[in-house]
Amino acid sequence: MTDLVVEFSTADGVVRAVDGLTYSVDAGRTLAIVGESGSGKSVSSLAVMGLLQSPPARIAGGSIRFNGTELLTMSRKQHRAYCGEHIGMVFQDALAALNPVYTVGWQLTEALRARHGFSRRQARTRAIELLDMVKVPAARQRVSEYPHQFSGGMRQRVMIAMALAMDPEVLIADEPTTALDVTVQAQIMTLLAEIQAERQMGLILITHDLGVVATVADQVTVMYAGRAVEQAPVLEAYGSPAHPYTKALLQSIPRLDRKGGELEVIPGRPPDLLAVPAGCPFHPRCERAEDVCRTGAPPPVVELPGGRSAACHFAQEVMTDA
Amino acid sequence: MPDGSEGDVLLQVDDLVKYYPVRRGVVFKRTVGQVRAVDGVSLTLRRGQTLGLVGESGSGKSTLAKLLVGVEAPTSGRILVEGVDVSGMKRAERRRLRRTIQLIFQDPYTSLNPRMSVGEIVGEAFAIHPDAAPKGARTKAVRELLDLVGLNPDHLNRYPHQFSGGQRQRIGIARALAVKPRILICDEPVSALDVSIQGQVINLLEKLQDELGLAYLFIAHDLSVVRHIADQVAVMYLGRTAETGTDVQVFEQTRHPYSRALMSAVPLPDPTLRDTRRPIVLEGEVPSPAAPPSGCRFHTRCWLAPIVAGREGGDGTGVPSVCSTVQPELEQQEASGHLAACHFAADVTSEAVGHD
Repeated sequence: MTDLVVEFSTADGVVRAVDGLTYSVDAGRTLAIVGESGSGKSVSSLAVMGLLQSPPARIAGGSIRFNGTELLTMSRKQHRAYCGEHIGMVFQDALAALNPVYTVGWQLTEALRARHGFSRRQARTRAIELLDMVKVPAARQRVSEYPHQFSGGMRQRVMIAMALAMDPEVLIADEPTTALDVTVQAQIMTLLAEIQAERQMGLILITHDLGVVATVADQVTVMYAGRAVEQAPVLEAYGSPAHPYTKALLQSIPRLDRKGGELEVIPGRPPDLLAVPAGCPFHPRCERAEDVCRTGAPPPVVELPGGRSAACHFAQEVMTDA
Repeated sequence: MPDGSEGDVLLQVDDLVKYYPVRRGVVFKRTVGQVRAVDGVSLTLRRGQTLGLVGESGSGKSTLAKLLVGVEAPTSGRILVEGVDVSGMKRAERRRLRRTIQLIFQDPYTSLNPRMSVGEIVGEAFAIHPDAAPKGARTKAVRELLDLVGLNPDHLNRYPHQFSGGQRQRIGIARALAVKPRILICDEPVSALDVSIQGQVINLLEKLQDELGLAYLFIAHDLSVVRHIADQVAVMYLGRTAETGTDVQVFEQTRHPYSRALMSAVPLPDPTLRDTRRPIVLEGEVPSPAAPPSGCRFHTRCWLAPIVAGREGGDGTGVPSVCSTVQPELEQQEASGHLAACHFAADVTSEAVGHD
């Protein structure tokens, strides 16, 4: 993805939800996209899948290439078909994403029947294989059940199985464990990691949970107000964050492994996208903001050693301070 | 209570039980079973203290909150608020109780009436409890409350939709504080908020506790938040308390295999720990509270039981018969006030270290 720009027209004006986002993910690697609500993390992945409703959404610029093939010049239909073959997606809310009136097995293999002409019998066999793969117990019986008969964790497994039905090369998981209990969350993350290793898939994990990122990701992109403010390998991003937002975010979360005193919170709140502050969008909440941060264009992306980058005038200093 | 902690007891719960009947039939409803949402829970909350209540869905933590604020009546057991048994109270008597216990809701979007201004929302309580603030001084009281929770008092006439999620949660807190309660039941108060806003609300709750001497019952599924804010912790599983003690006892000297598994499953925001820390991945999901397992309710998912069974000569796949037949009671561990309901509590820490 290069310089992606996505805009939404609203009653109050045009909102730029994604503003020049660039990232890449390699086979077998995990990229985590982290951000708060309104940061554009989910919108960018919907753009990849061709799932943005247009209008109100409009892709105003940039390019998304998959193995060299440009997706944004395709017709909507071609785009969707291409993604169906190559990119799988898992959503947060599995109950809303599954159709309540069809059996799980039917939904799992819809694409196989439509695109690859699977017969009913073949489809059923494949559905059972898929459920087995995501470790749904008693797959043979459960394939004929309906989504409401599955628990939250099991529904999320079905979602993963569905995303894997077409053997995608890249899987996008948007907050896949947010609605789940802690112990079930661990089961799902373990399952995703196993499947990824086995198939050498690229995984794009969209989340707000910095713990999950630290546990599974290779590379992290931190988003704020539609822009990537920092991109780095996970160890470096956590060890010596180069953007004040990343640094503040890491300091502001309570930790299980230590008690700590008062939390060092970030003042204020994420900006309203209709009125993004001039200069660096983070400057009103930033402790080291100076005059240069408050006016003009947002700070340019600074390339840093180790394949990292950060959009901050003081990236170098922030990184070495830590 | 054997625990000799300071502060007087504000809230005491003894052996609290709440069963919901399961009914079948269209015209003639028969009771065909019971959902044992809360099944024998005891806890103590002291002035100025925070009790963190941890558990997954079906653990009964939200039912417990409903029982404590009087939305639901318990099947049996006692709730003592400042020494007075309130579990069998009539409606009118409960009104007085509500001045002592207030609730903060999870969802700041649905828990505020969109047609009422902030001043009306926060001041509504004064109409019900006229003695909380004298009539002429109510607007002043509302302004003070808004100021206390970090909102601009001049925004009194604004409506909920003009505020962000974090600010709405502050409005909810101001409303709860209007009647000068001593106990706040916080049911997942920060889980609907953005990461950078969660910390602000947590800090506010801690500041208010210091200033007003409030006691909190803090219900959350996020263990990191509970670790941060709680002095005492109770871990619930399927309507019963699995383990309880101070935060250090429960988080660092864990004596119940369920608490241990819960903690190991929390991803830590530190990638350098990735290779040294292995979560104990529990099999399956929480069983239905309508048909809880026999014996220890956790035995169907317990990671420790097969290890103990293996040590006693089994093949390492079974469960010791005591676990599947005898319900373990909360028993005192080494330190005073630290209780765990596990037949093999002493094995938890040592086994957990080598567990992979």
